[in-house]
Amino acid sequence: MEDNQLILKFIDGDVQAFNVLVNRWQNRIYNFVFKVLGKREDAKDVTQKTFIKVYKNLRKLKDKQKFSAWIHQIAMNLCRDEIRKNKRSPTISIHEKIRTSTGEEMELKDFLSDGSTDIADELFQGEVVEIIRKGLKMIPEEQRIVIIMKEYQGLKFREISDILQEPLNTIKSRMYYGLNALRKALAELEIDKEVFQYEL
Amino acid sequence: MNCDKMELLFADLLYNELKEEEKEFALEHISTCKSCEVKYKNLRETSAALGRWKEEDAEMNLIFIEEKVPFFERLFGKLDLIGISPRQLVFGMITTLLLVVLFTGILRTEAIYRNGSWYISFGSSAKMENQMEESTLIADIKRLQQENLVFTNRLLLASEERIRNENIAVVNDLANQFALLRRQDLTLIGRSINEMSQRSEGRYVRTNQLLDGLYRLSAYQPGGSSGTRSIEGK
Repeated sequence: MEDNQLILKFIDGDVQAFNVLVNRWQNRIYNFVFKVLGKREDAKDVTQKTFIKVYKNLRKLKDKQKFSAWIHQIAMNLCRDEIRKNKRSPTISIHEKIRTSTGEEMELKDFLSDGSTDIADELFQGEVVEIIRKGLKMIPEEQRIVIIMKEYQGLKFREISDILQEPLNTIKSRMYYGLNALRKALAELEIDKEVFQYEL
Repeated sequence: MNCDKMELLFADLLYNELKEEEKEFALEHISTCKSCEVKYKNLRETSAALGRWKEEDAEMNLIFIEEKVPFFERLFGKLDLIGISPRQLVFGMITTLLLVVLFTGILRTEAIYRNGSWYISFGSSAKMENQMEESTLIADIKRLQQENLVFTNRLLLASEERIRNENIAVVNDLANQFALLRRQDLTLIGRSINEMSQRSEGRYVRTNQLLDGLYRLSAYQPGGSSGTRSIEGK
């Protein structure tokens, strides 16, 4: 059953239809929020808040076809609230401490530029995630959100433009400059090709 | 196509959101422009690197249970289905109310030409004036009706008195006439009785005379005695 059919059933009083919708979307929204906030517990909280807000306001959604954009907009606004609430810096320093797979704590830069080992071979998936997460946090928030929406959520540029209520060309421009900024951030961390195996 | 324009196309090209013609142009440019080729390659590499952060399981199971939806929320939900938002509903109601007030005001507005001047009264004051005027008129009518009733009663009483007096006079007159006639009748009757009495007495005398004659005739007996009878008179 399509999302919009589930929405109509929910509006008609069928809560189970909403639960189907939640089940369909919760992983996607959780991963989006996690990539924006960078913390699993925060991501779970915000995901839960997102669906509560969706539950309360779904009846007000005019164009049911735009559910995807709408739920992302709610999640994104809640992420921004969370960032503001925690006064969390949108970017991080390369001197930020991280914990490696061996349990050792070291600065990100030292961890990533450690020449004693072949990093590309030794990094576990969790560490790769950590590096990307850190890299993403080093670029401006507005560019990071566009990259996450496009790269991980698979939204069209037009949808991202609707969600962020910014001109289409601004979104494309943020994508372009965001990817370049991310590359520079990773280059600064000296993890270029050693870390990522490009599949070109 | 110059390199500046390519900056906007890179993102579309990377995520395959270009039209076929634009894609051909962009790829053609990249194949002839070393700078753009490098830029595009870098973008693809970065995008591919991002792809290594795989989606993970949320490890959460949100379940919503049914709650009693408030009446207005359900109403707004239904209205929303037919494309009416709560804001539109409220706006429509307020607009309707204002129009009703406006038209009522217009309908209640009065312009009166009196003593060479125009008088305009608006809204409820016009109605109030009318009501006051109307109530004054009603009071006047009631007062006049009351006065009229009193006057009519007086007329009736006067009329009854006059008729009664007239009737009494007529009755008295009739009684006098009747008494006169009665006296006349009695006089006539008396006269008649006297006449009749006289006549009767005459006849009685004559009858006695006749009877005496008869007795005498019947008592005549040659050689015998005869008794004599007489009739007692009154």
